[in-house]
Amino acid sequence: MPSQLDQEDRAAPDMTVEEIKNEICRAATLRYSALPLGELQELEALLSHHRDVLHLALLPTGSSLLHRMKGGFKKVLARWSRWLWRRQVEFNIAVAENASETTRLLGTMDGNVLELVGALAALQREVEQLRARQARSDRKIATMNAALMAQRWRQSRTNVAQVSNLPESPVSGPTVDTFLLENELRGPREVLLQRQKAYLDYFRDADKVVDIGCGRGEFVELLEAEGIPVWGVDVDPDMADCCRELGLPVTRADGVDYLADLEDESLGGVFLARVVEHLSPEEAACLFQHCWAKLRAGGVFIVETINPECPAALAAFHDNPTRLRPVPAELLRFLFETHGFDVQTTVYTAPTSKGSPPCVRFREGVVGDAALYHDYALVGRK
Amino acid sequence: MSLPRIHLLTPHLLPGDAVSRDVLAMLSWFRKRGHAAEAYAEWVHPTLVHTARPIGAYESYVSSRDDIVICHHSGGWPLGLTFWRLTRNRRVLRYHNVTPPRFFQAYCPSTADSCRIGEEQTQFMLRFDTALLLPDSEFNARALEQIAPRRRCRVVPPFHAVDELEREPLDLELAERMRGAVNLLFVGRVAPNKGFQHLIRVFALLQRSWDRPMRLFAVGGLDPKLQSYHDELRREIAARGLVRHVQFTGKVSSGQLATYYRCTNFFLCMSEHEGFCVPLVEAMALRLPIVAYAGGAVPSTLGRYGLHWEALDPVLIAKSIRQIQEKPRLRESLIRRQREHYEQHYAPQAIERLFAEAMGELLGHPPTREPTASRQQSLRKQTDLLAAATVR
Repeated sequence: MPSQLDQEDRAAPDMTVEEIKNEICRAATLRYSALPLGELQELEALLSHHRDVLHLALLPTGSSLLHRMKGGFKKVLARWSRWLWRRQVEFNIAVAENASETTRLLGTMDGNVLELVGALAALQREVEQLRARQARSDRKIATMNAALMAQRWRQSRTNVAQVSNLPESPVSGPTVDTFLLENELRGPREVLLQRQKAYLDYFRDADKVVDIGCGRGEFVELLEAEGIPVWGVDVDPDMADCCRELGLPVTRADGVDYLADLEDESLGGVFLARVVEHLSPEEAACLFQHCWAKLRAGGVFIVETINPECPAALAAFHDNPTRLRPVPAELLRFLFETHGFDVQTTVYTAPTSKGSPPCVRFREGVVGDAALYHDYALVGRK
Repeated sequence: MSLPRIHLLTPHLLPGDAVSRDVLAMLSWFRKRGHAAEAYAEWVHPTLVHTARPIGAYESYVSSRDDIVICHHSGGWPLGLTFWRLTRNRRVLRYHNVTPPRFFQAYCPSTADSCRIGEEQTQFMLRFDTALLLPDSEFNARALEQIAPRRRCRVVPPFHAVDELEREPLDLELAERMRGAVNLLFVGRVAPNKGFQHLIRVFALLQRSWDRPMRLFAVGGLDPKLQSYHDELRREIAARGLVRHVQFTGKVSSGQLATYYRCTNFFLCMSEHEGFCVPLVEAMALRLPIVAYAGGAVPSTLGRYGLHWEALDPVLIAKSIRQIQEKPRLRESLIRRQREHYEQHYAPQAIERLFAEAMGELLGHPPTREPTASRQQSLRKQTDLLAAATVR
C-alpha cells in the first residue's frame, strides 16, 4: 500500500509554493506561535542604552571662556537640582529593570508553553502509534474470530454427516481457506454495508429479491432492514453458516441450481456482487439466462464486479485465486443486452482516493474518473 | 574619454565571508572591463593580502571628482565614515545591512555598541550626496528608502561562489558519516540573530514527534566574543538531550560545505534577522529544499519560490519538514521552484546583468555635481528672488 501511495504521489502534477503551504496547513493540526519578544527586547536595549547616555549628559566643555562658563553653570544646576531629579531617576531605573524582568519572564513563559506543545506533539505521536497497533490487533483478532467460527461450522457439519451417515466432503490435502481469504479481502462488514447502500433504492418496489453469491450477507441484511423480502444464496458452506448464525435467510446452494428450482417470472430483483469474475463465459451466460427467466417484467438485475479501469483494483485482482478474469464494462453490457436486459445506469463505488465522492452514477457516455473507483455495477431491467 | 577609476572600500577582507566575496567579485568585474579598480580594507586576512591595499592608500584619490568610490557597509566602521565624508569621488553605497543591536545586548555589549554605531553610521552616510545606492535585497532597499527617500537606488544581489561549490567533489568520508538519518542543515555564523534557539526547538520538536533518526548540522564560524551565547546554546542542547544529534561544525572547507549541501535533506533557516542570506541561494542552486521562518530579508531572498512562514511557529515548521520528507511530490515541486528562482534571479549571469545595468547609468555618463541640500536651498532662494523681481 505505501508503494501505491508513493506512485500516486509522484504522478501528481507540479505544485506552486502556495499549494504546498496549503497542503502542509491542512496536515498541521497543532499550531503555536511564539510571543513576539523581539520588539520588547529592542525597547529594553534602547532603555539600557539611554541609561548609559544619561551619564554623558554633562559633556566635557571647550577651552573658551564662554564654554567654561556654560559648563560651570550646568554643573551648578545639576548639583542644585539633584534632589529634584533623584526620585525621577530612581523611577526610571525601576522602569528599566521592570521591562528587563518582564522580557525575561515572558521569554521563560514562552519557553514553557513551547515545552508543553512539544509534550503534546510527543503524545500525539504515541497516540498515532497506539492507534496503528490497535488497528493491527483488531485485524488479527477479527481474522482469528473468523477462523474460529469457520472451524466450529466445519466441525458441526462433520458431526451432522457422521450422525446421518452421509459421506463427508472429500479433502485432498491442504487448500486455501476461501472463507478466511474473502473475509480478509472484503474488509469489515460495516464498510461493505455502507458501500452497498448505493443499490438499495433500485429494489424499493421489488417484492422478492435473490442475492446470488451473498457472501457474509451484507446486502441481504440491508434489504431485510428495509422490509424487502430477500433470500441469499452462496455456494460456500462457511459463508452460508456465517449468515445463518447472523439470522439471515441464506441457503447454501449453487446459484444456477437454486434459480432452476424457482418458478419462472417469480422474482422482483436479482443481485450479483463479486460473482461474474469467478465464472467462465459459459457459466456467466447460463446464470444470466436463468436470471432473465426468473425475473418478472420490469424486474431489477444488478451485477457488481471489480473495475478493470482502476489500476489499484486490477493490481489486487489475483489476490483471490478463485477469480478467473476481470470483466470490463463493455463486456458486461454486451452480456446484459444479449440476454435481453435493458441497461439503465452504471454505478461506480469504493473510491481509491480520499477526495472522491463515495458513489457516482452515469446513465451513458464515457466516465472521466472511472479509474478512481475500485468497483462498478450495471443496473438493468427486464 | 578615459574610464573612471573605481575604489572599493571595505572594513575587512576575509576568506569565506559574503561581503568580502562581493568586494572581490566587483573588483574582478571592473578590471575585466578595463577600469583601474582597487579594493581598500582596514583588516585583511593574510591569504588575501595581495588582493587589497591598506585603507590609508585611498587618501590620495579622495579629491578626484571623476572617480567612483563604492563603500561596502555592514557595520560600524569609523575610518570608512571618515573617508566617506572626505571624498569628492562619486559615492556609491553598497548596503549589506546592519544587524540590530538588541540581538547582541545580552551576550556581547561591545558588538551591540558596534551595531548601534553601524546603524547611526548608515543615517550619517546618507546625509551626503550619493550617486547610487546599491542594497543587496529589497528588504535593505526599503530600509534605505525610509532613511533617505527618492535616491537613485538599484537592488543587486550579492555576488556568490555557487559555481565553485557546484564543481566541488563530494567529501566521501563526510558523506558516509551523514548516511542513515534525516539531516537538517543551517549555514551561517553562530550569532544570536540567526535564531539558533528556534532551530534547536524545531529540531527537538521533530525528534519528539517523528520516529526517525535525525541530525542537525550548524555550519559556520563561532565568534569567541559570543562565548556566553554559545554556552547558552550548549546548555539548551544538553537540557533537551540532543548532544549526540546537534553538531556545530565551525568553519569548513568549500568541499565540505558542498558535501553538507548535497547530503542533507533540508536547509532549515530560523533567522530572525538577515540582510540577504547567501546560504539560501546556495541551497536553492544545489537543490536542497528550504524551510524557513520569514525573518529579515529571507522573504525577499526566497520570493514566491521558497517555503517561508510568517509565524514563528516551531510546530508548523516541524510539520512542514515532515510533510515534505514524506511526500515526494511536495519535495520535488519545491526543489524545482527553488532552482527556477535561482536561475532567473541569482545565477552569476543574472547578477552581473543587474550590476552592469546599475553601474551602466554611472559609468556611461560624465560625472555631474548633484546639488547638495544647502546648495539646493540657496538655488531655490535665488529662483524665488528672480521670480519676485520679474513680477515687480
